[in-house]
Amino acid sequence: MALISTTKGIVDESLLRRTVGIDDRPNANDVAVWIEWRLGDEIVRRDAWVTLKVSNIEAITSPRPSNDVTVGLTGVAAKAEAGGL
Amino acid sequence: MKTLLSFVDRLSVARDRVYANTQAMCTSFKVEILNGIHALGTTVTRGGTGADIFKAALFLATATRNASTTVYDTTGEVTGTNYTAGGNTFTWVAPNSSGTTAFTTPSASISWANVTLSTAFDAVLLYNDTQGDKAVSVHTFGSQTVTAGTFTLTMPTNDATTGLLRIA
Repeated sequence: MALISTTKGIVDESLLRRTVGIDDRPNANDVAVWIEWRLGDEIVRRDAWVTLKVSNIEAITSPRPSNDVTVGLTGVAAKAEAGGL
Repeated sequence: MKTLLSFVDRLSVARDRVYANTQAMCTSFKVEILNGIHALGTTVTRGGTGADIFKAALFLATATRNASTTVYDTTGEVTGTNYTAGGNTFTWVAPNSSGTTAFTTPSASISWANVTLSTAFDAVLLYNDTQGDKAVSVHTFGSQTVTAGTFTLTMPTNDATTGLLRIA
């Protein structure tokens, strides 16, 4: 015997009529789902939620590769000499 | 007599130690060359006391920049997005000496931000922008290309052994 909270208080679920609805549109990014419990024709409880179907956010799991380039320079030396007379 | 001879010997040694001349180019002269103090020719036009402006320009791997380069020009210079012909300005660390070597190095890394240089390049020419683009030195590195990135030339330690410009 499952008891659920309703507008009529705690009720045995088996005494209620339960229906499930889904709104899944082809071009939508989400799906809406709801469950309704009725006592006779009166809705006494409704649970509803929305779930994302596709995320448009790219998951970045590692740093984006850098295009930067760094190189080190090495010096040049000139040998200076004083000639003889 | 022995004492007298010994004294003469010691005197000779002392004379050799104190008064010997050694042929050399004076180290201070090397530093002063870098500071533009000596004018050995007759074509000097320097009148100001400020440092000249120096620039660094990048050159393609197919260019011919070497010890015989006398001035900067655009032949063989890289081209690309955000690269301005002539390169970037930089400053030198004040010339100094250690032992008999005068040396100096650019005071900071030289970089080109957000450039795209698609054709391989491997050299930088440092030149005097104030004095008729006269060439200073050519430095080579491994062939590079850059795509929408920052290209940076880092400098060696500024000392008598590794300084970028050294007169030994």
